[in-house]
Amino acid sequence: MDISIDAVAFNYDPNSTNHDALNIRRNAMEIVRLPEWQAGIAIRPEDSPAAYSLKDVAGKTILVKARFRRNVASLAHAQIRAVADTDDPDVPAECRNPLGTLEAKDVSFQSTGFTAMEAFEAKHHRLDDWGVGVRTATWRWEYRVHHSGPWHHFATTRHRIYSLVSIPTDPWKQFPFNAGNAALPWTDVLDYACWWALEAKTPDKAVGKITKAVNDLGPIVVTYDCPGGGSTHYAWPTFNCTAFVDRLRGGIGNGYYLNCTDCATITSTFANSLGCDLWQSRMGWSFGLNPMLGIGSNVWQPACGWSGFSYHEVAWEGACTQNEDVYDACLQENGGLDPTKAPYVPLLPIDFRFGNPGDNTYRDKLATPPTRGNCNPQPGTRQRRAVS
Amino acid sequence: MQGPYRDFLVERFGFREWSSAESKTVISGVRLDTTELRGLRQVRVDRVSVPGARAAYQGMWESANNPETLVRVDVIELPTVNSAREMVLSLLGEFQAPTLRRSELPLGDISFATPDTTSVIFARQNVAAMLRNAGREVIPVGDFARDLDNVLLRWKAEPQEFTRNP
Repeated sequence: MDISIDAVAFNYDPNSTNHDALNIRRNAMEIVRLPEWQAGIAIRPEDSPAAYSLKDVAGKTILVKARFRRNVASLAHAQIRAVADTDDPDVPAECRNPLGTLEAKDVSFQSTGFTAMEAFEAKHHRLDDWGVGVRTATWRWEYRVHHSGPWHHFATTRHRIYSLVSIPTDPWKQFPFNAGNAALPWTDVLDYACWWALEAKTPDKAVGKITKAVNDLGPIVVTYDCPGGGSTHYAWPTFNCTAFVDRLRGGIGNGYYLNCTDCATITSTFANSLGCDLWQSRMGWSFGLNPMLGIGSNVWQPACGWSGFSYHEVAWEGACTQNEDVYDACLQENGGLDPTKAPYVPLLPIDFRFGNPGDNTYRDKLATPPTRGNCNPQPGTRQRRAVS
Repeated sequence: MQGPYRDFLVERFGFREWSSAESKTVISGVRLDTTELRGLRQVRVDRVSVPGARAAYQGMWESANNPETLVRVDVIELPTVNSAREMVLSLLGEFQAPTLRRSELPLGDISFATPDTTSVIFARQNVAAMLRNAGREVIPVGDFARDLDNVLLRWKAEPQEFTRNP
């Protein structure tokens, strides 16, 4: 082959989000090596990960940089392009290349035998059309020596592309962009968050899908901590996200049980990795419970048959008061006309206003009528637990 | 922990009665990796960061006979006896159920447990500890808590024995 590909870079400008990729890492311990794709090192798509903010790249041309090596000393110039399967109807949409074909570009080989890192335009990317996702970008790299000549295939590269609603929010941070910053968004988290929120295009839609996915983890992966008194297993004192990801992958993690604090933390942290903007915040203190379905349970009863909760915690929007909406992956309320009795209609609280007593919103469906006055928003507890 | 939730916990658990204790002896150099719990084998021990703590560890033990039996152990070494009591209050605040009660178990200087002893929290000197079930097969953890407490008692007496590398 006259030409080889040496490297492909997606995040070549850490300060930019509207034409290149976001700053990410793999997990608490591992960084993403740059450039993301390097010859001989990147074999699987996940070896070359990149994440984009849909809000930032919508309607804009994305630039992907690549470097090439000539294998024939006489070759001084070439035209190169990368062809994608973006519009191939035989490939499922979630498996197609969301960045599309990289437009043809003239490159020159230097005396070293390499080109510079050349910028290729992805003019017709489909990121904002397809919404949130974790997809594989496969490119067939082709070259020709003369503009009228035939194209020759010389390499195929594969990359893992994460599409986020917008730039991740706290506890995730874009800066400083260095190995010591464990709060850079983790691909270990994006693998799940992007799949759970597949095709979402708005923050509300994304966090709704994540709330549903977290609730659906019960009872196979996790279940509510009835045996232990409903204690926090993953989110005290910080969010042991490493243990939770281990659990998702079939490992022991921090075990089978979790509580509302864990669910609120998982939901908000995973949603915020996609650019949503949620808090973990409590309500209380000490209130009775209407019949509900705790995560992992199919029995309508106050949680575990207890008389009530000392506190409860959810993923909450904005100021975390009665006027804001909550997302609760920990339980399903009774969406029937009277939340205190049958008939029971499962209602997973998604984008549901907390409300005041008598509003027939989240608070009324959770707490028994005599104790609704004890089930008050406690915005002073509002936080976003750091990930570890 | 500060604020109205702490006030609620202080009342619920009668914290003023056990919030402080006269003691000048403190346990130092706590670690979990050399700790043995009867019939269980250690799966993992992680050092974690807990605000205000001198050291903190989270560990998982599993039954040698049944991998579905998992016990999670948290041990937090605080600077003082009173700060360990405050930590116990914080740990109690992470339980949603109103079922934890002051325990009659011969365990630590102060202890709390769920009715079936499936979760236990105790303080020994300046150390706060919590043992809970983490597997599908649920078992009482009181005996394991006593094993850990015995380790802490020996630690208190002979700290040099336990601060060496394993």
